[in-house]
Amino acid sequence: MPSTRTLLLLAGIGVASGFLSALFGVGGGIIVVPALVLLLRFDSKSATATSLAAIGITALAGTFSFTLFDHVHWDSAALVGLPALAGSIAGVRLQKLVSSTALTRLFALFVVIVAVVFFLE
Amino acid sequence: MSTTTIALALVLGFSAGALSGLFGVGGGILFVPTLALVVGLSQLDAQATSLAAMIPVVAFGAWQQQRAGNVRWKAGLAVGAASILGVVGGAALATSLDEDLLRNLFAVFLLFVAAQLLWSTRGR
Repeated sequence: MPSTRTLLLLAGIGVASGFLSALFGVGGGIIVVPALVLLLRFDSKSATATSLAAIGITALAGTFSFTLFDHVHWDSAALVGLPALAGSIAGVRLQKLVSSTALTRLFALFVVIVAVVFFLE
Repeated sequence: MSTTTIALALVLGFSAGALSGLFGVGGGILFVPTLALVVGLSQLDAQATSLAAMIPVVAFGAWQQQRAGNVRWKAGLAVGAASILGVVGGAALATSLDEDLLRNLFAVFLLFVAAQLLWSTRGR
């Protein structure tokens, strides 16, 4: 039986990630993975894996909530979601081949550019 | 939707998946810009649709990780179940905010993600 502290931390991580997920349409892994590593001493591999399981529930709950308000466009979801499934398989394979530090920094720069575009929209 | 829009959305969708596999960040931070800026959905609809779009990626990823024996199910289910509470609050807030404010908040969130990505490369 996990301690009360562990349960409270897991619940807190869940509520925070679910809130961000529904507010911004993201999975919440950006919260869950570091929180599991820093607060509960998960190694990064099991943190990423456990986060995926949690996000599955979060994404289903979020999709259900927004479907009630008629905000989900299923044709567009399939248009980006199905190629993404193929892409994720390629991404995991690539991870074993390339050094990630430079790529991660490049990706961070790209995310900043997208943020600026959104500010200007 | 024009053929160009569809082609671009397919390429960006594939890239979002590849980046999520590479960096371990969900596809959402790329799904939302693709759906809003390329497909032309409103900010709120892009965010809602992004959540639906990530279901196949996340389900497949979780299944792969389960097979590799990396998932701690009790913790994952606890976080996932608690997240439903957060989702209800987040969805209520997102649907009540002005579109421009929501878009700007999303941009701030992206800057936070970029900082987190850079932080993860420190000392390497």
